[in-house]
Amino acid sequence: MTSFTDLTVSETARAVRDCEVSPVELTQVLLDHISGLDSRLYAWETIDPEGALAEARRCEAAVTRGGVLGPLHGVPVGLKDIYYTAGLRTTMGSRVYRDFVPQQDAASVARLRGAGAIVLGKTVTTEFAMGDPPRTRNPWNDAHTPGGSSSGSAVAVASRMCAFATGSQTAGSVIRPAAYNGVVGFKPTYGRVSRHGVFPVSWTLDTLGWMTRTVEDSAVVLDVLAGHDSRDSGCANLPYTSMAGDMETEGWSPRIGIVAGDFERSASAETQAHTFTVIEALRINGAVVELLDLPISYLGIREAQLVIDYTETAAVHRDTHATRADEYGPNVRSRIESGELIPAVAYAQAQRHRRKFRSDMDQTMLAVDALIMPAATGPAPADLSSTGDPGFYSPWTVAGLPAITIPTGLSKSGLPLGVQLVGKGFDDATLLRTARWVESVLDFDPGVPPGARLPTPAT
Amino acid sequence: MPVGPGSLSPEEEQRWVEDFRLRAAVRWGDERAADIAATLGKTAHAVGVMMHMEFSHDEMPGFYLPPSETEDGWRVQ
Repeated sequence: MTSFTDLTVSETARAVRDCEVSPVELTQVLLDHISGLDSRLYAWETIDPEGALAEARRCEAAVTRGGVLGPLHGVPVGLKDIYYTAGLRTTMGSRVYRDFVPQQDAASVARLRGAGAIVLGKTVTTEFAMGDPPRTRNPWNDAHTPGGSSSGSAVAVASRMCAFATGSQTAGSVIRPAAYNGVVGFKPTYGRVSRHGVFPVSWTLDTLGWMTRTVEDSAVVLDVLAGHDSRDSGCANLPYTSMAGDMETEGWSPRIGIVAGDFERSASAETQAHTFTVIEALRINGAVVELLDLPISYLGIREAQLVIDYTETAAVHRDTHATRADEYGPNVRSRIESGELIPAVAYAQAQRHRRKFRSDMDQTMLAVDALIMPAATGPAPADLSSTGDPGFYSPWTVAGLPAITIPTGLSKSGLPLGVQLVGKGFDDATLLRTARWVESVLDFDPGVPPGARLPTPAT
Repeated sequence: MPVGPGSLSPEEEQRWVEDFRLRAAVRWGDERAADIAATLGKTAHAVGVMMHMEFSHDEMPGFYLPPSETEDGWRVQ
Protein backbone atom coordinates (compact mmCIF):
# COMPACT_ATOMS: atom_id res chain seq x y z
CA MET A 1 0.00 0.00 0.00
CA THR A 2 1.50 3.33 -1.06
CA SER A 3 1.40 6.24 1.31
CA PHE A 4 -0.04 9.45 -0.11
CA THR A 5 3.28 11.13 0.51
CA ASP A 6 5.13 8.50 -1.53
CA LEU A 7 2.95 8.83 -4.64
CA THR A 8 4.82 9.97 -7.75
CA VAL A 9 3.41 12.42 -10.27
CA SER A 10 2.31 9.66 -12.63
CA GLU A 11 0.83 7.55 -9.84
CA THR A 12 -1.07 10.54 -8.46
CA ALA A 13 -2.49 11.52 -11.84
CA ARG A 14 -3.59 7.93 -12.53
CA ALA A 15 -5.09 7.47 -9.05
CA VAL A 16 -7.01 10.76 -9.25
CA ARG A 17 -8.28 9.96 -12.73
CA ASP A 18 -9.42 6.52 -11.56
CA CYS A 19 -11.12 8.01 -8.46
CA GLU A 20 -8.79 6.05 -6.17
CA VAL A 21 -7.43 9.19 -4.55
CA SER A 22 -9.30 12.33 -3.60
CA PRO A 23 -7.34 15.47 -4.54
CA VAL A 24 -8.74 17.18 -1.45
CA GLU A 25 -7.64 14.39 0.86
CA LEU A 26 -4.22 14.16 -0.82
CA THR A 27 -3.67 17.92 -0.60
CA GLN A 28 -4.62 17.96 3.07
CA VAL A 29 -2.23 15.07 3.82
CA LEU A 30 0.64 16.89 2.09
CA LEU A 31 -0.19 20.17 3.87
CA ASP A 32 -0.15 18.30 7.20
CA HIS A 33 3.14 16.65 6.26
CA ILE A 34 4.63 20.04 5.41
CA SER A 35 3.30 21.44 8.65
CA GLY A 36 4.98 18.63 10.60
CA LEU A 37 8.36 18.99 8.93
CA ASP A 38 8.91 22.51 7.78
CA SER A 39 9.79 24.02 11.14
CA ARG A 40 12.96 21.90 10.85
CA LEU A 41 13.61 21.81 7.09
CA TYR A 42 12.48 25.29 5.95
CA ALA A 43 11.70 24.17 2.41
CA TRP A 44 8.80 26.63 1.98
CA GLU A 45 8.78 30.39 1.73
CA THR A 46 4.99 30.61 1.52
CA ILE A 47 2.44 27.86 2.00
CA ASP A 48 -1.04 28.46 0.58
CA PRO A 49 -3.42 26.01 2.30
CA GLU A 50 -6.59 27.91 1.39
CA GLY A 51 -5.66 28.31 -2.27
CA ALA A 52 -4.43 24.72 -2.56
CA LEU A 53 -7.54 23.23 -0.97
CA ALA A 54 -9.84 25.41 -3.07
CA GLU A 55 -8.04 24.20 -6.19
CA ALA A 56 -8.21 20.61 -4.93
CA ARG A 57 -11.96 20.90 -4.49
CA ARG A 58 -12.30 22.18 -8.06
CA CYS A 59 -10.19 19.22 -9.24
CA GLU A 60 -12.35 16.80 -7.33
CA ALA A 61 -15.51 18.29 -8.78
CA ALA A 62 -14.08 17.96 -12.28
CA VAL A 63 -13.33 14.27 -11.68
CA THR A 64 -16.83 13.72 -10.43
CA ARG A 65 -18.30 15.51 -13.47
CA GLY A 66 -16.21 13.37 -15.82
CA GLY A 67 -14.72 14.56 -19.09
CA VAL A 68 -11.20 15.33 -20.18
CA LEU A 69 -8.66 15.85 -17.40
CA GLY A 70 -5.19 17.32 -17.79
CA PRO A 71 -2.05 15.19 -17.40
CA LEU A 72 -1.35 16.70 -13.97
CA HIS A 73 -4.93 16.74 -12.77
CA GLY A 74 -4.92 16.75 -8.97
CA VAL A 75 -1.12 16.66 -8.64
CA PRO A 76 0.19 19.05 -5.95
CA VAL A 77 3.29 21.06 -6.82
CA GLY A 78 5.76 23.40 -5.15
CA LEU A 79 7.00 26.42 -7.12
CA LYS A 80 10.41 28.00 -6.64
CA ASP A 81 9.83 31.46 -5.24
CA ILE A 82 10.99 33.25 -8.38
CA TYR A 83 7.99 31.99 -10.41
CA TYR A 84 5.27 34.65 -10.48
CA THR A 85 1.98 33.47 -8.97
CA ALA A 86 -1.10 35.65 -9.29
CA GLY A 87 -2.21 36.82 -5.85
CA LEU A 88 0.47 34.81 -4.03
CA ARG A 89 3.56 36.50 -2.60
CA THR A 90 6.72 36.00 -4.66
CA THR A 91 9.84 37.18 -2.84
CA MET A 92 12.77 35.98 -4.98
CA GLY A 93 14.21 35.06 -1.56
CA SER A 94 15.00 38.74 -1.13
CA ARG A 95 14.30 41.64 1.21
CA VAL A 96 13.80 43.85 -1.84
CA TYR A 97 10.72 41.88 -2.96
CA ARG A 98 9.57 40.60 0.43
CA ASP A 99 6.05 41.99 -0.07
CA PHE A 100 5.70 41.57 -3.83
CA VAL A 101 2.44 39.98 -4.97
CA PRO A 102 2.29 39.44 -8.77
CA GLN A 103 -0.90 40.12 -10.64
CA GLN A 104 -0.39 37.25 -13.05
CA ASP A 105 1.04 33.76 -13.23
CA ALA A 106 4.29 32.97 -15.00
CA ALA A 107 3.69 31.24 -18.35
CA SER A 108 4.92 27.95 -16.86
CA VAL A 109 2.65 28.29 -13.83
CA ALA A 110 -0.32 28.93 -16.11
CA ARG A 111 0.56 25.78 -18.06
CA LEU A 112 0.85 23.72 -14.87
CA ARG A 113 -2.49 25.00 -13.59
CA GLY A 114 -4.00 24.38 -17.02
CA ALA A 115 -2.83 20.77 -16.82
CA GLY A 116 -4.58 20.40 -13.45
CA ALA A 117 -1.71 20.89 -10.99
CA ILE A 118 -2.49 22.19 -7.51
CA VAL A 119 -0.10 24.87 -6.22
CA LEU A 120 0.77 24.13 -2.58
CA GLY A 121 2.95 27.22 -2.24
CA LYS A 122 6.35 28.68 -2.94
CA THR A 123 9.59 26.91 -2.14
CA VAL A 124 12.66 28.60 -0.75
CA THR A 125 15.18 29.97 -3.20
CA THR A 126 18.52 31.45 -2.34
CA GLU A 127 18.39 35.23 -2.66
CA PHE A 128 17.63 36.06 -6.31
CA ALA A 129 18.55 32.43 -7.16
CA MET A 130 22.24 33.12 -6.54
CA GLY A 131 24.80 31.93 -4.03
CA ASP A 132 23.93 33.23 -0.57
CA PRO A 133 23.07 30.14 1.48
CA PRO A 134 19.37 29.53 2.27
CA ARG A 135 17.84 28.67 5.63
CA THR A 136 16.65 25.36 4.13
CA ARG A 137 18.12 22.22 5.69
CA ASN A 138 19.20 18.98 4.03
CA PRO A 139 16.89 16.20 5.28
CA TRP A 140 19.69 13.63 4.95
CA ASN A 141 21.89 15.50 7.40
CA ASP A 142 21.20 19.04 8.49
CA ALA A 143 24.89 19.82 8.95
CA HIS A 144 25.30 19.51 5.19
CA THR A 145 24.15 22.03 2.60
CA PRO A 146 20.95 21.26 0.67
CA GLY A 147 22.54 22.92 -2.35
CA GLY A 148 20.97 25.76 -4.27
CA SER A 149 19.58 27.84 -5.60
CA SER A 150 16.46 25.67 -5.94
CA SER A 151 17.02 24.50 -2.35
CA GLY A 152 13.44 24.31 -1.11
CA SER A 153 12.19 22.46 -4.20
CA ALA A 154 14.81 19.72 -3.86
CA VAL A 155 14.18 19.29 -0.13
CA ALA A 156 10.38 19.34 -0.59
CA VAL A 157 10.51 16.52 -3.15
CA ALA A 158 13.06 14.47 -1.20
CA SER A 159 11.00 14.87 1.98
CA ARG A 160 7.76 13.77 0.30
CA MET A 161 6.09 17.15 0.74
CA CYS A 162 5.17 17.02 -2.95
CA ALA A 163 5.92 14.75 -5.90
CA PHE A 164 7.41 17.53 -7.98
CA ALA A 165 8.63 21.06 -7.63
CA THR A 166 10.02 23.62 -10.02
CA GLY A 167 13.48 25.14 -10.13
CA SER A 168 15.74 27.11 -12.43
CA GLN A 169 19.37 26.82 -13.43
CA THR A 170 21.88 29.50 -14.42
CA ALA A 171 24.93 27.41 -13.50
CA GLY A 172 23.92 24.33 -11.45
CA SER A 173 20.84 25.35 -9.49
CA VAL A 174 18.63 22.39 -10.43
CA ILE A 175 21.08 19.50 -10.83
CA ARG A 176 23.20 20.24 -7.73
CA PRO A 177 20.43 20.49 -5.10
CA ALA A 178 18.68 17.50 -6.68
CA ALA A 179 21.89 15.47 -6.37
CA TYR A 180 22.53 16.61 -2.78
CA ASN A 181 19.01 15.54 -1.78
CA GLY A 182 18.74 12.26 -3.69
CA VAL A 183 16.04 13.17 -6.21
CA VAL A 184 15.81 13.37 -9.99
CA GLY A 185 16.64 16.86 -11.28
CA PHE A 186 16.03 17.77 -14.93
CA LYS A 187 17.09 20.86 -16.87
CA PRO A 188 15.78 20.82 -20.45
CA THR A 189 17.50 22.39 -23.44
CA TYR A 190 17.74 26.20 -23.27
CA GLY A 191 14.80 27.48 -25.27
CA ARG A 192 12.42 24.55 -24.65
CA VAL A 193 10.38 26.12 -21.85
CA SER A 194 9.15 29.69 -21.55
CA ARG A 195 10.64 31.77 -18.76
CA HIS A 196 8.04 34.53 -19.08
CA GLY A 197 7.13 35.59 -15.55
CA VAL A 198 10.13 34.01 -13.86
CA PHE A 199 12.50 36.53 -12.29
CA PRO A 200 15.79 36.49 -14.22
CA VAL A 201 19.33 35.90 -13.02
CA SER A 202 20.95 35.98 -16.45
CA TRP A 203 18.72 36.01 -19.55
CA THR A 204 20.98 34.08 -21.90
CA LEU A 205 21.71 31.35 -19.33
CA ASP A 206 18.56 30.89 -17.24
CA THR A 207 16.73 27.63 -17.91
CA LEU A 208 13.72 26.34 -16.03
CA GLY A 209 13.90 22.82 -14.63
CA TRP A 210 12.26 20.66 -11.99
CA MET A 211 12.71 17.98 -9.37
CA THR A 212 10.80 14.70 -9.29
CA ARG A 213 11.41 11.26 -7.84
CA THR A 214 11.34 9.39 -11.16
CA VAL A 215 12.54 10.05 -14.70
CA GLU A 216 9.07 9.28 -16.06
CA ASP A 217 7.68 12.12 -13.95
CA SER A 218 10.23 14.54 -15.40
CA ALA A 219 9.05 13.60 -18.88
CA VAL A 220 5.41 14.12 -17.90
CA VAL A 221 6.22 17.63 -16.67
CA LEU A 222 8.22 18.44 -19.82
CA ASP A 223 5.24 17.44 -21.94
CA VAL A 224 3.21 20.07 -20.11
CA LEU A 225 5.79 22.86 -20.11
CA ALA A 226 7.53 22.55 -23.49
CA GLY A 227 6.43 24.91 -26.22
CA HIS A 228 7.06 28.23 -27.91
CA ASP A 229 6.17 31.50 -26.23
CA SER A 230 6.82 34.73 -28.09
CA ARG A 231 6.95 36.61 -24.77
CA ASP A 232 10.30 34.92 -24.01
CA SER A 233 12.83 35.95 -26.67
CA GLY A 234 14.99 32.92 -25.82
CA CYS A 235 12.16 30.44 -26.30
CA ALA A 236 12.61 28.33 -29.43
CA ASN A 237 9.96 28.05 -32.07
CA LEU A 238 10.82 24.44 -32.80
CA PRO A 239 8.50 21.44 -32.94
CA TYR A 240 8.13 19.38 -29.80
CA THR A 241 6.89 15.82 -29.83
CA SER A 242 5.12 14.60 -26.72
CA MET A 243 6.98 11.87 -24.89
CA ALA A 244 3.93 10.33 -23.28
CA GLY A 245 4.15 6.63 -24.04
CA ASP A 246 7.65 6.94 -25.53
CA MET A 247 9.59 6.06 -22.40
CA GLU A 248 9.70 2.33 -23.12
CA THR A 249 13.27 1.07 -23.01
CA GLU A 250 12.63 -2.66 -23.43
CA GLY A 251 15.03 -4.09 -26.02
CA TRP A 252 16.95 -0.81 -26.29
CA SER A 253 20.20 0.28 -24.72
CA PRO A 254 21.99 3.61 -25.04
CA ARG A 255 25.40 4.72 -26.24
CA ILE A 256 27.02 6.63 -23.41
CA GLY A 257 30.14 8.79 -23.48
CA ILE A 258 32.23 8.97 -20.33
CA VAL A 259 33.55 12.42 -19.52
CA ALA A 260 36.68 12.09 -17.44
CA GLY A 261 39.31 14.84 -17.18
CA ASP A 262 38.25 17.60 -14.77
CA PHE A 263 35.20 15.65 -13.70
CA GLU A 264 37.23 12.65 -12.59
CA ARG A 265 40.03 14.66 -11.02
CA SER A 266 37.70 16.93 -9.06
CA ALA A 267 35.57 14.11 -7.65
CA SER A 268 36.28 12.56 -4.26
CA ALA A 269 37.76 9.06 -4.22
CA GLU A 270 34.44 7.65 -3.02
CA THR A 271 32.55 9.42 -5.81
CA GLN A 272 35.04 8.26 -8.42
CA ALA A 273 34.73 4.65 -7.26
CA HIS A 274 30.94 4.87 -7.14
CA THR A 275 30.72 6.35 -10.63
CA PHE A 276 32.98 3.60 -11.96
CA THR A 277 30.72 0.98 -10.40
CA VAL A 278 27.65 2.60 -11.97
CA ILE A 279 29.25 2.77 -15.42
CA GLU A 280 30.33 -0.85 -15.18
CA ALA A 281 26.77 -1.88 -14.30
CA LEU A 282 25.47 0.01 -17.33
CA ARG A 283 28.03 -1.65 -19.59
CA ILE A 284 27.22 -5.12 -18.28
CA ASN A 285 23.54 -4.46 -18.96
CA GLY A 286 24.12 -3.55 -22.59
CA ALA A 287 25.10 0.10 -22.83
CA VAL A 288 27.81 0.91 -25.34
CA VAL A 289 30.23 2.92 -23.21
CA GLU A 290 33.18 4.86 -24.54
CA LEU A 291 35.57 7.48 -23.24
CA LEU A 292 35.00 10.87 -24.89
CA ASP A 293 37.44 13.74 -25.13
CA LEU A 294 35.91 17.16 -24.63
CA PRO A 295 36.77 19.77 -27.27
CA ILE A 296 39.53 22.33 -26.71
CA SER A 297 36.84 25.00 -26.36
CA TYR A 298 35.89 23.36 -23.05
CA LEU A 299 38.89 25.22 -21.63
CA GLY A 300 37.67 28.53 -20.29
CA ILE A 301 33.98 27.66 -20.54
CA ARG A 302 33.40 28.09 -16.80
CA GLU A 303 34.98 31.52 -17.01
CA ALA A 304 32.68 32.35 -19.95
CA GLN A 305 29.69 31.36 -17.80
CA LEU A 306 30.82 33.63 -14.98
CA VAL A 307 31.40 36.63 -17.25
CA ILE A 308 27.97 36.26 -18.89
CA ASP A 309 26.21 35.56 -15.60
CA TYR A 310 27.73 38.46 -13.66
CA THR A 311 27.32 40.96 -16.51
CA GLU A 312 23.67 40.16 -17.04
CA THR A 313 23.01 40.04 -13.29
CA ALA A 314 24.43 43.55 -12.98
CA ALA A 315 22.11 44.71 -15.76
CA VAL A 316 19.04 43.01 -14.21
CA HIS A 317 19.64 44.68 -10.82
CA ARG A 318 21.09 47.98 -11.98
CA ASP A 319 18.14 50.19 -11.02
CA THR A 320 17.26 48.47 -7.76
CA HIS A 321 20.84 48.22 -6.58
CA ALA A 322 21.32 51.94 -7.19
CA THR A 323 18.77 52.80 -4.53
CA ARG A 324 18.53 49.74 -2.27
CA ALA A 325 22.03 48.22 -2.16
CA ASP A 326 21.89 47.69 1.61
CA GLU A 327 18.93 45.34 1.21
CA TYR A 328 20.95 42.82 -0.80
CA GLY A 329 22.82 39.90 0.77
CA PRO A 330 26.63 39.96 0.56
CA ASN A 331 26.98 37.44 -2.26
CA VAL A 332 24.37 38.98 -4.56
CA ARG A 333 25.59 42.51 -3.90
CA SER A 334 29.23 41.65 -4.61
CA ARG A 335 28.18 39.90 -7.84
CA ILE A 336 26.25 42.93 -9.01
CA GLU A 337 29.08 45.28 -8.12
CA SER A 338 31.73 43.08 -9.77
CA GLY A 339 29.54 42.45 -12.80
CA GLU A 340 29.13 46.14 -13.46
CA LEU A 341 32.91 46.44 -13.92
CA ILE A 342 33.22 43.78 -16.64
CA PRO A 343 34.38 45.24 -19.97
CA ALA A 344 31.95 44.89 -22.87
CA VAL A 345 34.66 43.16 -24.91
CA ALA A 346 34.98 40.41 -22.30
CA TYR A 347 31.21 39.82 -22.46
CA ALA A 348 31.31 39.60 -26.26
CA GLN A 349 34.27 37.23 -26.07
CA ALA A 350 32.41 35.05 -23.59
CA GLN A 351 29.40 34.83 -25.92
CA ARG A 352 31.69 33.93 -28.84
CA HIS A 353 33.42 31.29 -26.74
CA ARG A 354 30.15 29.83 -25.61
CA ARG A 355 28.90 29.54 -29.18
CA LYS A 356 32.09 27.78 -30.25
CA PHE A 357 31.80 25.35 -27.35
CA ARG A 358 28.19 24.55 -28.19
CA SER A 359 29.08 23.98 -31.83
CA ASP A 360 32.01 21.75 -30.87
CA MET A 361 29.83 19.80 -28.42
CA ASP A 362 27.28 19.14 -31.17
CA GLN A 363 30.05 17.37 -33.09
CA THR A 364 31.49 15.61 -30.03
CA MET A 365 28.12 14.12 -29.15
CA LEU A 366 27.26 12.76 -32.57
CA ALA A 367 28.44 9.29 -31.57
CA VAL A 368 26.53 9.01 -28.30
CA ASP A 369 23.07 9.41 -26.82
CA ALA A 370 24.32 11.05 -23.63
CA LEU A 371 27.38 11.90 -21.59
CA ILE A 372 27.82 10.56 -18.08
CA MET A 373 29.74 11.97 -15.12
CA PRO A 374 29.35 12.18 -11.35
CA ALA A 375 26.43 14.36 -10.28
CA ALA A 376 28.74 16.33 -8.00
CA THR A 377 32.30 16.30 -6.71
CA GLY A 378 31.00 14.34 -3.73
CA PRO A 379 27.96 14.17 -1.46
CA ALA A 380 26.56 17.43 -0.05
CA PRO A 381 29.44 19.23 1.70
CA ALA A 382 29.36 19.80 5.46
CA ASP A 383 29.43 23.54 4.89
CA LEU A 384 26.36 25.69 5.43
CA SER A 385 28.12 28.85 4.25
CA SER A 386 27.93 27.77 0.60
CA THR A 387 25.57 25.90 -1.71
CA GLY A 388 28.37 23.84 -3.25
CA ASP A 389 30.54 23.89 -6.35
CA PRO A 390 28.79 24.69 -9.67
CA GLY A 391 31.70 23.49 -11.80
CA PHE A 392 30.10 20.17 -12.86
CA TYR A 393 27.07 21.95 -14.33
CA SER A 394 28.02 25.36 -15.70
CA PRO A 395 29.61 24.00 -18.93
CA TRP A 396 26.33 22.30 -19.92
CA THR A 397 24.18 25.25 -18.88
CA VAL A 398 26.32 27.69 -20.85
CA ALA A 399 26.03 25.38 -23.87
CA GLY A 400 22.27 25.16 -23.44
CA LEU A 401 22.38 21.35 -23.37
CA PRO A 402 19.79 19.32 -21.46
CA ALA A 403 20.97 17.58 -18.28
CA ILE A 404 19.51 15.26 -15.68
CA THR A 405 20.70 13.76 -12.41
CA ILE A 406 19.57 10.43 -11.00
CA PRO A 407 20.28 9.16 -7.48
CA THR A 408 22.42 6.03 -7.71
CA GLY A 409 23.58 5.26 -4.18
CA LEU A 410 24.42 6.48 -0.70
CA SER A 411 27.83 7.47 0.57
CA LYS A 412 29.48 5.88 3.61
CA SER A 413 28.19 8.88 5.55
CA GLY A 414 24.62 8.13 4.41
CA LEU A 415 24.27 10.99 1.92
CA PRO A 416 22.97 10.62 -1.64
CA LEU A 417 25.31 10.04 -4.57
CA GLY A 418 24.27 10.25 -8.18
CA VAL A 419 25.25 10.59 -11.79
CA GLN A 420 24.61 13.40 -14.23
CA LEU A 421 23.66 12.67 -17.84
CA VAL A 422 23.94 15.36 -20.51
CA GLY A 423 22.12 15.17 -23.84
CA LYS A 424 22.11 16.81 -27.25
CA GLY A 425 20.46 20.16 -27.77
CA PHE A 426 16.72 19.89 -28.44
CA ASP A 427 16.93 16.11 -28.09
CA ASP A 428 15.55 16.03 -24.58
CA ALA A 429 13.61 12.90 -25.48
CA THR A 430 16.73 10.78 -26.04
CA LEU A 431 18.28 12.09 -22.83
CA LEU A 432 15.18 11.20 -20.83
CA ARG A 433 14.94 7.80 -22.48
CA THR A 434 18.59 7.15 -21.61
CA ALA A 435 17.99 8.30 -18.06
CA ARG A 436 14.94 6.04 -17.80
CA TRP A 437 17.08 3.12 -19.00
CA VAL A 438 19.80 3.91 -16.44
CA GLU A 439 17.21 4.22 -13.71
CA SER A 440 15.66 0.86 -14.55
CA VAL A 441 19.02 -0.93 -14.80
CA LEU A 442 20.28 0.40 -11.46
CA ASP A 443 16.88 0.08 -9.73
CA PHE A 444 18.04 2.22 -6.81
CA ASP A 445 15.67 3.96 -4.44
CA PRO A 446 17.30 6.26 -1.89
CA GLY A 447 14.20 6.02 0.31
CA VAL A 448 12.89 8.61 2.71
CA PRO A 449 15.61 10.83 4.23
CA PRO A 450 15.99 10.47 8.01
CA GLY A 451 15.02 14.10 8.53
CA ALA A 452 11.70 13.60 6.72
CA ARG A 453 10.29 10.62 8.59
CA LEU A 454 6.93 11.21 10.19
CA PRO A 455 3.99 8.82 10.50
CA THR A 456 1.59 9.50 7.61
CA PRO A 457 -1.83 8.14 6.73
CA ALA A 458 -1.93 5.40 4.11
CA THR A 459 -4.31 4.99 1.18
CA MET B 1 51.38 36.19 -21.13
CA PRO B 2 48.58 33.65 -20.87
CA VAL B 3 49.83 30.09 -20.54
CA GLY B 4 47.12 28.59 -22.77
CA PRO B 5 43.36 28.67 -23.44
CA GLY B 6 41.43 28.86 -20.22
CA SER B 7 44.32 29.83 -18.00
CA LEU B 8 46.50 32.79 -17.10
CA SER B 9 50.10 33.06 -15.96
CA PRO B 10 50.55 34.26 -12.36
CA GLU B 11 51.69 37.64 -13.70
CA GLU B 12 48.60 38.03 -15.89
CA GLU B 13 46.38 36.91 -13.05
CA GLN B 14 47.90 39.54 -10.78
CA ARG B 15 47.53 42.23 -13.44
CA TRP B 16 43.83 41.52 -13.89
CA VAL B 17 43.20 41.38 -10.14
CA GLU B 18 44.86 44.76 -9.74
CA ASP B 19 42.91 46.11 -12.72
CA PHE B 20 39.65 45.07 -11.09
CA ARG B 21 40.65 46.39 -7.67
CA LEU B 22 41.24 49.79 -9.28
CA ARG B 23 37.99 49.67 -11.25
CA ALA B 24 36.11 48.82 -8.05
CA ALA B 25 37.85 51.55 -6.06
CA VAL B 26 36.86 54.15 -8.66
CA ARG B 27 33.28 52.89 -9.01
CA TRP B 28 32.45 51.80 -5.46
CA GLY B 29 35.22 53.24 -3.24
CA ASP B 30 38.22 51.66 -1.51
CA GLU B 31 36.27 50.25 1.40
CA ARG B 32 33.72 48.49 -0.79
CA ALA B 33 36.46 47.25 -3.11
CA ALA B 34 38.10 45.60 -0.11
CA ASP B 35 34.76 44.10 1.02
CA ILE B 36 34.17 42.39 -2.30
CA ALA B 37 37.79 41.42 -2.98
CA ALA B 38 37.05 37.69 -3.24
CA THR B 39 34.34 38.13 -5.88
CA LEU B 40 36.44 40.72 -7.69
CA GLY B 41 39.29 38.20 -7.84
CA LYS B 42 37.08 35.52 -9.42
CA THR B 43 35.67 38.03 -11.87
CA ALA B 44 39.11 39.36 -12.76
CA HIS B 45 40.34 35.85 -13.50
CA ALA B 46 37.36 35.05 -15.72
CA VAL B 47 37.63 38.34 -17.58
CA GLY B 48 41.38 37.82 -18.08
CA VAL B 49 40.75 34.39 -19.57
CA MET B 50 38.10 35.76 -21.93
CA MET B 51 40.27 38.68 -23.03
CA HIS B 52 43.01 36.27 -24.04
CA MET B 53 40.75 34.02 -26.12
CA GLU B 54 41.47 34.10 -29.83
CA PHE B 55 38.72 33.88 -32.44
CA SER B 56 38.49 34.28 -36.17
CA HIS B 57 36.32 37.13 -37.43
CA ASP B 58 33.50 34.85 -38.47
CA GLU B 59 33.15 33.43 -34.96
CA MET B 60 30.32 35.70 -33.86
CA PRO B 61 28.72 36.07 -30.46
CA GLY B 62 25.43 34.90 -31.92
CA PHE B 63 24.54 32.26 -29.43
CA TYR B 64 22.22 34.52 -27.54
CA LEU B 65 20.03 35.17 -30.57
CA PRO B 66 16.62 33.72 -30.00
CA PRO B 67 16.81 30.20 -31.42
CA SER B 68 13.58 30.83 -33.30
CA GLU B 69 15.39 33.40 -35.42
CA THR B 70 18.07 30.99 -36.59
CA GLU B 71 17.82 28.32 -39.21
CA ASP B 72 18.67 25.26 -37.12
CA GLY B 73 17.81 26.66 -33.76
CA TRP B 74 21.26 27.82 -32.79
CA ARG B 75 23.53 28.84 -35.63
CA VAL B 76 23.39 31.77 -37.98
CA GLN B 77 24.13 30.24 -41.36
